[in-house]
Amino acid sequence: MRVQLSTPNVRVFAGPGLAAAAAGAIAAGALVSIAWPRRAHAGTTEHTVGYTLHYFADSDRVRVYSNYGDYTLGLSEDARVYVQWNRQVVVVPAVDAPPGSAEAVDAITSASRPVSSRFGAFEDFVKTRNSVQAELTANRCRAGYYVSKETDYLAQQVSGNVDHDLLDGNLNLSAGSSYGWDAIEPLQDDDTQTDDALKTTLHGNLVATETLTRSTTLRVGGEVNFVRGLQHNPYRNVYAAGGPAAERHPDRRLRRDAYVKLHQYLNNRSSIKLDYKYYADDWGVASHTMGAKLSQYVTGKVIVGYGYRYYDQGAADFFRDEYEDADGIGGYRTGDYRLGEFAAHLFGTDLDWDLGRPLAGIEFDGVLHLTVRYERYFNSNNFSANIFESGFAFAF
Amino acid sequence: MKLRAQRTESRTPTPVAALLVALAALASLAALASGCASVKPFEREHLSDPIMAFDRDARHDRRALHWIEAREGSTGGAGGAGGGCACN
Repeated sequence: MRVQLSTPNVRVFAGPGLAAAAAGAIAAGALVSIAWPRRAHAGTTEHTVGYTLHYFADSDRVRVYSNYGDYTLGLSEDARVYVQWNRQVVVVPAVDAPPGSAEAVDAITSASRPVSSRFGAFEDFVKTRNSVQAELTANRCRAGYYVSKETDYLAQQVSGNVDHDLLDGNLNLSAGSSYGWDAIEPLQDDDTQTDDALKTTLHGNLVATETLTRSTTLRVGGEVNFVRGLQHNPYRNVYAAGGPAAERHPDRRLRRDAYVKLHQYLNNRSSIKLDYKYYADDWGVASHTMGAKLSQYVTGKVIVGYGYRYYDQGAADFFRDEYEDADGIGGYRTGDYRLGEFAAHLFGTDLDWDLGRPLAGIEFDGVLHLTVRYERYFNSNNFSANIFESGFAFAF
Repeated sequence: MKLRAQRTESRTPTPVAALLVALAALASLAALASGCASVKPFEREHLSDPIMAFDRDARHDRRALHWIEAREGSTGGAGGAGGGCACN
């Protein structure tokens, strides 16, 4: 794996307006929180500011540098506002093949990148993505808004959620829904011509969480997503009838999944978390996801976690290695390995350190948490990735 | 041309997979049905420990979903992820 810690000197697209708005929102939140009359006594911490640095590097030499900032403003014991800002720089490498060769006309990675006189195949393509997420939680209701902007993609979403306790608090039922609308404006690309397009997503979920014993909890849930609009990579070609042809996916997809999670407290100050999810959609993709995580107190202030996740999926009905007919299968053709059959493994470890009150005695007394995390992902398509994450949360 | 997948036909869920799903559903129903035995608030010391919380890693899970969604065919789809992280 090649790890490059400096951003190459190539084209960078940014959304300065969105970034400035997000930074302004967080700064305003900080000022409001200072002025907001805090309760003399509260069972929960009312304000939290956090930062996380996330670095992703995969075997296709795609690199992603992400900075996350978040702020939680407690309005009362039952109401709070949460704002998160994310700036992400994605570096998609040069196409590793001579111009005009078979390799050069297909996207070797799953990444989105055009190839044209403006975006040369032999130079890295860099794009910046900014997003803001805001949530208001009051009593047992939550409302949220999300927006992200990058060179060729604008995504927005509104969401809502409500939950209710039953059986003396031993059972909690939750229902949520969201609606997202994305505007896609593909950049100039030499061998594909995709017009501007829209994509909408309607989502719904139901979740039940139950206390089974003094040391066991169970969660069962289901989700449905109905996606309409452009759902293929506008820059990717596939081989059909011996030549390159633009990728084409159906413009509707109904996605469903159901999952179960079990948390068990163990006597040596640790817990084990198990989960399983089954997914199926009307493109023919079905998958199983199983995970386990062990969390262990090393000291009273340090928690170490070890996790593993296994993923296995089948192929979409119209997925083929090569298409004999120019129309593909039923008019659809894909070069997306995510629609083929494969299995994946994810190992991870993390450390959570409660540093207590490092600023005790001054105005901004608060509790500081540090988190460090490393994850290793690999799948049966010889794809692998390393993910590093570190951050802090300051609660006051 | 570099090909990532070797598959030529779609796969339908196998009997083993269907059995796994049925077992998970049964276990869930059984657990829910047996949950009528109430756990009192003063008996929830372990349950309230941060290492037992469902949302302890919620923000990390959300970040992980973002990059996993770009690399697996059945993850995400809930909207709002955008086209970032070298995806879509």
